Amino acid sequence: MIPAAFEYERVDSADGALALLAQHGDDAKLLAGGHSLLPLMKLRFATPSVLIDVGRIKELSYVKDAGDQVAIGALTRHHDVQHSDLLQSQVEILAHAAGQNHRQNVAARQ
Amino acid sequence: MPPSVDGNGLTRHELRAVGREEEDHVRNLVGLTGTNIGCDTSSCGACTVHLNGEAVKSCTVLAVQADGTDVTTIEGLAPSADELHPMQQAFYENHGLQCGFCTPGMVMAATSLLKEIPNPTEQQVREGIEGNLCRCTGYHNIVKSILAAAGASK
Repeated sequence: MIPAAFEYERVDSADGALALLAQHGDDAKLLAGGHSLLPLMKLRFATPSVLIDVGRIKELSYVKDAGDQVAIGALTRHHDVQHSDLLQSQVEILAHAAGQNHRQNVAARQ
Repeated sequence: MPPSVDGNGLTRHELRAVGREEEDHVRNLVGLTGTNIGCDTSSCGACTVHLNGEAVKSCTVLAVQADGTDVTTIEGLAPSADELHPMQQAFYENHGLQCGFCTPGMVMAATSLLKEIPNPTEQQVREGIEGNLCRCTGYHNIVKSILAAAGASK
């Protein structure tokens, strides 16, 4: 199955992604892991004209101590949530849950 | 600028279209046909390869997403043409396959699993390969193979 033609842009910062989203509007879709969007594109249920790859934005991938909270970045992979020492010690159920809802060969990207 | 994908130690610059998925890329452009395309929607796991050492379902990875990463397919696993990787040897010795279609993905998922959990329990093996479907074996001998490979690498 082959998706419809699209343009591909990769950004390395959240600001870069926001700028491209502002430029392309509804024609653009954000691509992170790709597990949901790419099958939809192959089946032609989704036909974005621009894909903005946010998968390598490092600033949005973290698990960190934020005082009385644990902060998890929007692009943190399930694998990293599952294996986070901080979560395992402070919010163990989240780390445990992250290990329950994925397959090993999905977790590295999702 | 075409993506630079380092597949099994070879750097390739053959991408023709950004819409090509990684598995299509390695099969048709790089010429390595060991990676199988099953469901094409990341359900079956037949297309599993390693990106930077981690198992991923390549049918939903665009080749451009793999730009600059180290790709290992089933062809890159064995240490030489005369010697199987311990996981391949274990599948061979334990009848870990019948038709063989899921096997490249199973072996790639299994080697990645043992990297993360070197001495898994049977339950951990079954959970570790739950993203890979097999229609022939009932999984029993696949699990046996992976446990045997884990034992062999002790």
